[in-house]
Amino acid sequence: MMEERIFESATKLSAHSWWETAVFRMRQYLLGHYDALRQSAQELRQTQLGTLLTFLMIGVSIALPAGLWTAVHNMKGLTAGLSHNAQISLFLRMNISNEEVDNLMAVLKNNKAIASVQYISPEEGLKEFSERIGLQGLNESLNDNPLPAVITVEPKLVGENDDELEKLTTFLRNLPGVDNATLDFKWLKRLHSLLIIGQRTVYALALLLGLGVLLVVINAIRYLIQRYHKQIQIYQLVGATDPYIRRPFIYMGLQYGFWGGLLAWMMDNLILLVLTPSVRNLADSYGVSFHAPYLGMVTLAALVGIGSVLGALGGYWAVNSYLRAQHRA
Amino acid sequence: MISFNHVTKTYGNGFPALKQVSFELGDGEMAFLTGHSGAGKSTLLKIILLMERCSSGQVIVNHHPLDKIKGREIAYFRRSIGVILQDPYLLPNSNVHQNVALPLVFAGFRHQDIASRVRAALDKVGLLSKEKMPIETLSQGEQERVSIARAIVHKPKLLLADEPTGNLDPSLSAEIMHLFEQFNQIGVTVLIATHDLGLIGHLRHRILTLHQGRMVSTGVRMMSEEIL
Repeated sequence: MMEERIFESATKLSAHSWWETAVFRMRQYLLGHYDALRQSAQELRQTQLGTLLTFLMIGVSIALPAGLWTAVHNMKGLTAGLSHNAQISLFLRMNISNEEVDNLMAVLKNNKAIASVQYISPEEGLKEFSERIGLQGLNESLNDNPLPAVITVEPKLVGENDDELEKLTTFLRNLPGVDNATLDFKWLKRLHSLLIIGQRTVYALALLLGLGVLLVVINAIRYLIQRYHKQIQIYQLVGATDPYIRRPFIYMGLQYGFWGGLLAWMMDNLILLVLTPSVRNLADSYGVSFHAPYLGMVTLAALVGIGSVLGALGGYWAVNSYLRAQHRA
Repeated sequence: MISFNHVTKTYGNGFPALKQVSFELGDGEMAFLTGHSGAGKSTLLKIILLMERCSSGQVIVNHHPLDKIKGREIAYFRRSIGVILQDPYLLPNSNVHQNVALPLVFAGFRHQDIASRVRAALDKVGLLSKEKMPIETLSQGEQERVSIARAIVHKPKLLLADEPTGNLDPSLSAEIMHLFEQFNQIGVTVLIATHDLGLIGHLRHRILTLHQGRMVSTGVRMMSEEIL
């Protein structure tokens, strides 16, 4: 209430129509933000070495979880096609005829304990395998297809009773035309558990290093506040509001985070660039092509965005705690 | 305009800067606040400016009880006050115009209004010709006058000055006191803290005297002279 009263009394001398005043105030507000951004950029340019070190610290803090996230994400992609439910793989005899396969499929489809069945020919199996491991030229480089035809069976007993599943597997193993039957259940469970652990480790690490980014920014901004202490006092003495004083420091934090995020993206891609020749050599020795999973523009936007938000938050926290301490005096 | 009612200020270390201080200063009045160094003059001005909060008692400035003003409202409150301190508190990397314009910028004045008001204020303190000069190139007396121009540029209702002539020679000091009287004549309430009794001796204004944190006189000059 009081803010408005005093503000009005201070500006009424230059009173115009309400819309002119509104436009003027909006323009002043935007100009204030532009000025704060310009001032903060100028300040960062002046303290070159300190600024660069802060950028690097933030960059490393963001690059590490981002790199790990990329690795886990790729692992998840690799296993994305795998069913989360229990699955029994029936490996058929190498020389099985199409008629025998049709008969076997009919038997399986009529079994009430089975939810669904899928036939995978040796050719399809090899193609799927080479796609999953990223070795596109694998089928061309092999003279004979070593894979048997496979029927994947999804039981209705889904994970409820391991003994029932074992009994069903034994029954299926003894069907004519079936060479072997494996219950693809426990290893899948373990793999998913490992991936979840990996994912949660990345989240925990990201949280910790995100906190690290905040602390780095807070420390850097606190140092700048010390340097500008007298200027802040002058501004406060002649009527500058807390948001006006906060603004340049928030923009400084935002810029720390922005450039730190950009550096993190560059660092991760640089690491991939360094690793790519070695991996490519390895892939070439198997006669297959390798495509490095470089971080794209979406990841860049995400890293820069996260860095900027963390930086702005750090700047806000640092300057706000300074102002609160002053108001308490 | 200003009302102090049994105001006490004790710092964290237990040092009592002001003890049960009471006085009133009416609208359009001009008064001097005197006392030895450490008597509490600066603390009293800081309380009015909300740079410090009093430990007990009540202060009312321009009809606002200061204990009701929240932290984020202080800036708006200060826009109704002009302040001149012994250290001029000027931005060293800015020129005269930019320094004087600060209160108008923060209050949201239009660019053209700012320019004309700054020139009028600089004209008043005799520094119009140095409008574009960097602050570092000015003498101490000129810097003090820039500080006065900044204090009056937004036409405040209350003008506070803490030892405004502390660093100036006698002739310049008298000139600045004359400026304060001119502002007072157009209705501005003026409170000046000073220990220079020689300077204010010939001026016909109230003298408030502080002695070891207590207000020992609120208008009788003889008593203040006896104590000092």
